[in-house]
Amino acid sequence: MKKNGTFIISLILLFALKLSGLIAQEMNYDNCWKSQQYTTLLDTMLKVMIVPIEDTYKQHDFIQTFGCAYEEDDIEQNSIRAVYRAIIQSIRNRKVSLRDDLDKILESKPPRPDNLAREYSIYVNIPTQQEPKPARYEIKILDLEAVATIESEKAVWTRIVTRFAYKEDFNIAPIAEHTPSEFVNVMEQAQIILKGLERKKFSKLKKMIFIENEAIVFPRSIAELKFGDSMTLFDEVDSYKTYPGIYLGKGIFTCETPDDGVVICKFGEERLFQLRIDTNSFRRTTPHYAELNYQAPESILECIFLKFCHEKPTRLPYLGGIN
Amino acid sequence: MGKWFRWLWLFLFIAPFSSGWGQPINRILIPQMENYELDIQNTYREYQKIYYEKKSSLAELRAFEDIISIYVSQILEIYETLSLSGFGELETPRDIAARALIYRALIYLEKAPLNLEYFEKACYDYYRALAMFDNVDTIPAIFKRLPEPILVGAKEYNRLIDVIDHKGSELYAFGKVNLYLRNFKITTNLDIDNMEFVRIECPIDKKKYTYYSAGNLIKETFKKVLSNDGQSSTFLALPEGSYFIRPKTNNKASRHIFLSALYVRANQQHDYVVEPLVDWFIMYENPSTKKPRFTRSTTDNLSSIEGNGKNSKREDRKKSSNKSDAMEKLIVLSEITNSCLEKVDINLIFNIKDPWIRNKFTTTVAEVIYSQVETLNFHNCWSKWMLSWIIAKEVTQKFSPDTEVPTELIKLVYHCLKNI
Repeated sequence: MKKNGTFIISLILLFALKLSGLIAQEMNYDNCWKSQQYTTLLDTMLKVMIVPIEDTYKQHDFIQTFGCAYEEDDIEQNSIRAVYRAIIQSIRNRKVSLRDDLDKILESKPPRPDNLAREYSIYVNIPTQQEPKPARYEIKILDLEAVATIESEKAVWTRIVTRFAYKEDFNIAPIAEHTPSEFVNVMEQAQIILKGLERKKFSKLKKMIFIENEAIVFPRSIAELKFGDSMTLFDEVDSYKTYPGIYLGKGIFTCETPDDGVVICKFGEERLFQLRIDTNSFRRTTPHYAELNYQAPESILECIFLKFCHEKPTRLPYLGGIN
Repeated sequence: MGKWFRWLWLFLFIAPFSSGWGQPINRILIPQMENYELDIQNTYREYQKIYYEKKSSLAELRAFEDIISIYVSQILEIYETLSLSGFGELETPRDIAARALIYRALIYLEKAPLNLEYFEKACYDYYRALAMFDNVDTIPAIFKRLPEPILVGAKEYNRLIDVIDHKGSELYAFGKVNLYLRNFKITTNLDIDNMEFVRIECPIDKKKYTYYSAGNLIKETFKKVLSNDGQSSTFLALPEGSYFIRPKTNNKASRHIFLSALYVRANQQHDYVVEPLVDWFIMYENPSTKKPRFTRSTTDNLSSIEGNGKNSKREDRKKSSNKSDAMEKLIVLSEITNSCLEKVDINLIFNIKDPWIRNKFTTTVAEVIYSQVETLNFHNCWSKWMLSWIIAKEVTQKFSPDTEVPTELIKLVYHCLKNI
């Protein structure tokens, strides 16, 4: 009797273990933004952006901005992007424009978490009543750190301070704003969109990218598409029936379908649902993602795509013979 | 006098050399290509003879295939030399090269019922021949009149498209996939030798066409990508169906298969972009579909974005004004056809000099184009030239049945399709 009891308990335990294993397997794609090891880059940024600018810098007319990057599979490239974003934010805050090729400057002396390239000097244009006035602009990298996040194991964030090299330039320049990072704001918005997509909340997404607004840009090909651009799909059999779609990145998009509701596809898979993309219909109604060069993290795109891929048909529908 | 004589002598001495130097390279190479083409035609004729009349062994047939392959490679080499040298017009050499490939495809098609692999081989040659005309506006060689008619079976043909139409319908069971690899970096972590290209088996597949070459072609393209600035391309001839690339070591349920899936429909062309994604890659199609311009307007655009397919404004309007809409489109198409008639030699399209007949002709062309544009063919046909051929055939059937489809009519339809 006792033996039987032990056997049943061990069976239950075995079953529970097996079940938990299965659940764990499926949990990989259950919440794309959750990880036991890492946090999101957005959380990291929100934490570090609380750090106030040091008094010494404040007294010497420096302003503080932040940048981050996760797109590349390389810490050096991400460092360059992060510093670039922080400098561009500073330029925007100062309401001046770049005179130098910032990309080239950073590429020639790349900032890395482990090297000593921490100070740069560039030229900017200060808007005046007459011709814009060139001015030297000083950049100091105070923090540059590689962090493993959910977006990328090679993500990088940075904190920089910047000022005009000469007091007279500072005096004639417009009063600076103190936005720490617009890119982080865009990241936050995009994260809400991508999280909503995990629950297939398409109407919320349509509202967030203002799909019904007038288009400001008409991308001509998929190479020009950016996160949040919209498109129209039409029925292969009855081209009058149309469905909206929104581009996410790396050839992945989301759209409504005739019978399967909202789906997340890569280009070409719309034909599984008897749909075609009208390449004349690409539209951009919200400029922020393109302006700040936002790209949805590859790991998240992959996760969202794979989360629902089992629901799709494996073969194109038969539409009758073709001559 | 002596001075004049010296000049004359100098001229006579230099003239033959200067004409030799000035003689373009294509004047030597094109006749060579023409000779090879003649040899191919003769070999094709012999091949048919030994295949059907003498019932020769496979080894003999193989020998003929090898001979024809040598001629084809010679022609292709000369064509490459000419296109790289930049001497003169490329139209004639391109036509010869394309015809050579089609002849070899026809030979493969003869033997294909014995060995299904030959359908695939024929398809590669057929696609390669048509691809030579991808970026040019000239009519592909397949639609042009042959320098000399060829005898296939008991019938004589003047154009290769007529032979393909008669013997090569199996080619239409395949789809062409252009693969464009891009953005691959030196850090991209891929075990290329460990990849395998697999088809999702489906019981409804009628004939088991092969896709043997695809796997190796994909591997070669992946190997080239890193030495080629992260970009590389190739094309595949695949029977209709769904395919994916997976690592050999992983099990079948690997997530990789969903990212690298590609879907092929028969007689279509698909452009697939391949890009790295996290630690694998994603293959996605480059959509090329455009709704015909004459069906779009500002109001269409707005409703199409708002539409959900069930109650869009466009559909409501469709019900109420379907007929007038169709009439409007037909008028636009007739106008397009009329304007395109100037681009072709109308004397070679039936006898349409009489204004009434000409009017009837343009209406017929417009009607047939409209019927095709409104059906799947418009989105599914992989080349405008092929669709032009289908439309031209139908127009001929309606306008002058039992006559050969005029080449100028194919050109006319092509120009019309380009304008809508």
